[in-house]
Amino acid sequence: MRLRLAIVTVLIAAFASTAWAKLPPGDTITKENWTQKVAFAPESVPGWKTGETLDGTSWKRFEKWIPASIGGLMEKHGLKIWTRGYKAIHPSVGYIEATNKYHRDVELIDVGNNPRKKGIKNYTAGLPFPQPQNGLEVAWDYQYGYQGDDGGFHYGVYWISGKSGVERSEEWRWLYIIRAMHRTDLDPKPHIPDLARKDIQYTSMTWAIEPYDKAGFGALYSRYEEPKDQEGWIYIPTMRRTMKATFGTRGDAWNSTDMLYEDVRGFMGYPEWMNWKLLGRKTVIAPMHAGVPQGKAALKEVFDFDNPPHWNPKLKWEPRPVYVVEATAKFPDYPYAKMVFYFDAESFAIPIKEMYDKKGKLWKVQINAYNDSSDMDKHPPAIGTSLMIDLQANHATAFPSYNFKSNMNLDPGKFTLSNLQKMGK
Amino acid sequence: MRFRLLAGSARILAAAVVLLVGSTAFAQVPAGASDAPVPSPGAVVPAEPAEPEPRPEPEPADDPEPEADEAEDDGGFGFGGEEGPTFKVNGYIQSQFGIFVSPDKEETVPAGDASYVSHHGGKLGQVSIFRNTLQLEADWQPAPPISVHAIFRGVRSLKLKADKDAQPPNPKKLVRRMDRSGLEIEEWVALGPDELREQVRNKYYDETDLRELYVDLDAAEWLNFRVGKQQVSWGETGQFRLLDVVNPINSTWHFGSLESFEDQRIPLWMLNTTIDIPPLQGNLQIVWIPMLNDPEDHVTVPLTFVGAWGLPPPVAVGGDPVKLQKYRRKVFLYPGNDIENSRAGFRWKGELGNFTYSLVYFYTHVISPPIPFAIRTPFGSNADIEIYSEFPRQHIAGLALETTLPNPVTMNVKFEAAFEPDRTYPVNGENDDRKRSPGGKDFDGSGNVVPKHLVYRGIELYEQDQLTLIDNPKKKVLSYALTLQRPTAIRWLNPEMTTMFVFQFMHTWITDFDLADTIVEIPGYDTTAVREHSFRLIGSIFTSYLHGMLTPRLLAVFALGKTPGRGDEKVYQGGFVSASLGMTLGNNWRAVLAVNQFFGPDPYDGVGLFRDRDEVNLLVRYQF
Repeated sequence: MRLRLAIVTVLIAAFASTAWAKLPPGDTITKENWTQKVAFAPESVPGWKTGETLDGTSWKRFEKWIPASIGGLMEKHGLKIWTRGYKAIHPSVGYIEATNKYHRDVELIDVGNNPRKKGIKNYTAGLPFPQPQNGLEVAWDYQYGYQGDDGGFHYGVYWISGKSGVERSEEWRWLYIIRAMHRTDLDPKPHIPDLARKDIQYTSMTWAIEPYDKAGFGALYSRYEEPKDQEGWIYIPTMRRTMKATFGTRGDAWNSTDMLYEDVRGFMGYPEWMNWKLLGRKTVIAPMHAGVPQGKAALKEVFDFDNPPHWNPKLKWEPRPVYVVEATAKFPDYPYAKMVFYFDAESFAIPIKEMYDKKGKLWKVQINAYNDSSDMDKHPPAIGTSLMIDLQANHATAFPSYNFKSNMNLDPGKFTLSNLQKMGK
Repeated sequence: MRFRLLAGSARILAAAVVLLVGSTAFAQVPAGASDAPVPSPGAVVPAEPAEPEPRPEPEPADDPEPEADEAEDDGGFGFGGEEGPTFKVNGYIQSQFGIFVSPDKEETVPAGDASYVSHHGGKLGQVSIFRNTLQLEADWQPAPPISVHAIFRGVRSLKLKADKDAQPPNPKKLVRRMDRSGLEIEEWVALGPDELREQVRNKYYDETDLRELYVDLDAAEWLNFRVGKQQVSWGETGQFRLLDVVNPINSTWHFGSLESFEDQRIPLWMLNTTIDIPPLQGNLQIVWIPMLNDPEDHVTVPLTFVGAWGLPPPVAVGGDPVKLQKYRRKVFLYPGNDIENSRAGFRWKGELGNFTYSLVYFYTHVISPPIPFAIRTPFGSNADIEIYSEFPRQHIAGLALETTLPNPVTMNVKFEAAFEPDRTYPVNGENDDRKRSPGGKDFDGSGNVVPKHLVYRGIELYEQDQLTLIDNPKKKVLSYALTLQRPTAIRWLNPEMTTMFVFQFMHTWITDFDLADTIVEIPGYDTTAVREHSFRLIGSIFTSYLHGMLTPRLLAVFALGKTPGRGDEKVYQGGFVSASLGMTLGNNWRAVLAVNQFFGPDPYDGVGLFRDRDEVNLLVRYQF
């Protein structure tokens, strides 16, 4: 009898775990009920009010909702939090329509420990797993979460020593078609035919503006539907040549910064590369409407370069519903023993990420701050700024945003080798 | 027109002019030049209250207009008209200083019947290079389809003691003196060491040059014209040039393989057209060089013209002291400013699967070495011979392939091949079988008596001049290179960054080689013969520490060569090793400290030509 009960329980749980990730037939998501249907509202945080400034002496009042890593930054490194109230986020109308239309078709494929085998099928567009039930579904929701169909980013890169301050800086521009396939906002939908034929999911071009010896250095690279390494080219101005770039070395830092290639936006790998474990659904203080001013002239309002540790951003933080997910790599040579992601439950962006070394010690903390979307019906949250802190090296890399645009209707025909060379001269 | 001429750059320019014109010794950067137009890192942010006032909630607009400071910050992305006109100037001031560190050796060393100068470059502690450069780059984009780019370079260098060994084309000067009978006579006398050094510095080291000036015009999305003085870089191999054939180079001021080709290439006036053909996943680049430069800029500068980093004085045979100036002058018939001398070619570059490939063809001239084709002995003067060299026409065709191998191999693989079906090689000057005197002393090409004056193949002949013509053969030459590059994470060596390993193998094969041809590497110089097969092995390792602030690099090159049937030939031709440390200090300062060592068994073969040029070299740059 007990055995039968156990079997029935397991079967019900198994059925329910896939059933709850999908909405019942006829159940429709709208922008008004997005939080309710797809995510969950944050819990009320007693004593939290807009307009306060929390620091290392006052953060403990909200210790339950502030990740320990952020609390550590506040206590030991002078990070301050400017508080604001929660504000709901929903994706574009086109993305919501696509979610309604396609999410029920999506299925996971068990790839076991194989990071190179594609782990999803029948995905077309929109959010694949409303109400994700496990870490892997959260990871896929992040992978295909709403970020617009394309965008452009003009930003700075600042190398910062916790002791001595800003070591040097660069200026870059980045254009990307983040949805060459699975588009929801811009035509052609759902795919750009020429890129879909090559199985290209994402293509991007980035190039340096300053300083003199870096100006013109550029990269053109693409990601594929299959979970294989990016492919692309770099342009080297001193050689006046393009060169095919290799992206397969795990732990390769981007541009000698504290950020690995896989750390861009929080995670630029594939869900199949990691083992994902959902640690919980929580309310956490995170900068999703951070109020970051844009532009070079506003730099001093974004980062406190003057005072140690010289990297602290000035952001507004609010209670956010998040999925806390732990990830461990399937690659044996991965530099991080584990990562803990705080995925925003409404947008699946990664406002906070923790990285641990082989000894299990906290190594790095990444903060990705977002601003309000200019129009949530058509555009994603704007990139405010990003910060990667290497606590063990007492070093950080900051990425202030000078300008951000989304859904620019970029011409995929511009993402060519010839243009890469032209941009770099 | 908006422009962003960086604040303070006028002071920098003024200081730089003083540095170049007024000084041959670099002391320190003038005070004005340290006022960087780009704020120094520590001063980016003026003091502000640590705690900002709470800001009102931003009101997202339906169609947000860019804020005023965004437009000023140039919020466009340069992809079709969003940016306004821009004008930007940047560049650098740089000083490169080196000293020779080879141990002192005998002035000359006997070798059988021959003797040679052993410390070619100079004694321990002598200056190997002291080169000060101001380079300015300007970019002006008046409207999106058009942009103008210019590079100015000014260089001032010290005279180097080692340049006393230079063998310039005009090593003699005409002087008047009184003979014993009191008559005034004219005679050609060799330039003294100081005069040679002065000539080398003035002609080959110092520059005041508008290096590049071109207009880029995007006539259509698929069509770009670049018109003006420019460089074009084809090919994939580093360190040595296979398909990088469009621009000649000037590497007289340092060992060429240790310097960037960007700095060595001689920009040429050309029309450069790029046609994108997306359906074929590629682009076609067509280049036409109408030969508008100074004729001598159409070829690579011969390394015999300088001393410090040129070829050492030739071997003296028979125990006589080395005589540097056996000739009165060398005359180089450079490809001139004549439409018939035009060079043209194309490169198709495309993608095929995971491969990037290029197909190249170029119709050009031999740009190095100059090929002696005639020796004129003026009537009555065996000591005042003139050697005439030309740069014959030739074709070059080639292909390049590049791909990446995925993880776990994670490697970039490049292959490049060049075929020269009609490359002219110079012959050994002692080979009388290759010489012919076309008629008698009074030659006019048809055997008739020369009246008074005749021009034959660019050579001015006078009554009773002797002319010896040299037949230089054309050969079919195949060269190819394979390059492997792999970034590797070696955590104990560098826990933060990967280490790059580069390996390159190059082979040059003269496919129709004939021992009887007696072709030589360096014409009119010595008798070191060309090998039928030449190989180069190149290895390089580099990584970076402190987030890119320190970049140590090790480079090693070995040269080998072999001719089947020539049993006494040495295979190993020497090589060099360079260990360097690059330093990135803030946004403006860059430095490279290098130790370069050259070696080779034969001081007149391969890299052995530079075997006594070991040096320590420091480059310091301030960029803005």
